[in-house]
Amino acid sequence: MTIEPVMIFWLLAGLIFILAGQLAVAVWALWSLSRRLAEVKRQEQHLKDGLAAKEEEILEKAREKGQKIVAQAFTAAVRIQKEAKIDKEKLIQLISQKLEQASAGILKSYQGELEKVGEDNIRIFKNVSKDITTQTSQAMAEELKRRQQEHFRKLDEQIIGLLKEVSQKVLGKALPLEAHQDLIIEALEKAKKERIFK
Amino acid sequence: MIGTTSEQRDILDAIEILLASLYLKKRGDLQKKISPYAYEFINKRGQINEAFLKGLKEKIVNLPTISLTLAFEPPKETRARLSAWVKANLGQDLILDITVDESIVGGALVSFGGKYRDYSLRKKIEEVFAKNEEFQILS
Repeated sequence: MTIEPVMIFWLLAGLIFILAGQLAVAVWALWSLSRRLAEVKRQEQHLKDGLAAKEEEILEKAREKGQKIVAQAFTAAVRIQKEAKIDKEKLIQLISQKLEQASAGILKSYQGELEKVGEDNIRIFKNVSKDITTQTSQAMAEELKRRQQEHFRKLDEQIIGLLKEVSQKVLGKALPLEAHQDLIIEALEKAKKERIFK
Repeated sequence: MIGTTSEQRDILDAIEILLASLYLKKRGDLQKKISPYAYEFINKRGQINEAFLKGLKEKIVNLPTISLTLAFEPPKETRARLSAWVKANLGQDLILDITVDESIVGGALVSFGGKYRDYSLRKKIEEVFAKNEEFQILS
């Protein structure tokens, strides 16, 4: 059998066409991959920036809360002092001392919070590598925000509890015997007025 | 006037001793066996005999009691002030049953005839924190 030159031409042309098609697919795949990689980097950078900002935000909140705690402790001291009729300076001094001791505990709580944020960072970055769709990373960021708010809410409760505890512990000891007696007599007077003894 | 439950116990113990001594030939020095406060209290109220002592015992056992919870163990001075207030303001024989609970901070928890009120400083502190929005620290 003889092979016609025309046939060889078409055979080669077909081969070149197939190879060109495969090359085009490979180029498209490479281009697509590079786009995905660029998207991963962009997302990672976005999250890193966001989380760094969050860490700063946490520290800023801790600082603000520290100021609020002191301010509120003083406000509470003044209010309670009016109720209990005791020496204001002494009460404020005692509350300040107690708060100083307690502040170490508050800082520890916030350090713990920052550690948790760090752990969440790692988790998010790992997940981002697996799936880089914008919706997924947004959902993760929202989950992170929700968890942090929950941590902060618990911290707030602890801080308010701490203020109450400090006030109570300090007050009981700060009251002189005369003031204690006055409060008891006042209690009996109120009970009488409310007809408890009838 | 009987002030506190410990005074009530003193008097009841004294009545028991006196009742037992009524049937003894040698009574000895009774004043040494009972507290001076209880002796004076009983002696002031009548002739010591069985009927009087039994009547007095019944009266004392059934005295109404005000239960007070305080933040500290009241010294004599405080007990005396409280007893004086009860006598001056409630005008009847009442017993003060005092218990101590440091957690109430100050003031008192008052309970009488099934009624109860919390007039403690702990409650006031709770109210100060509950009432004022500025104490609700938010992140």
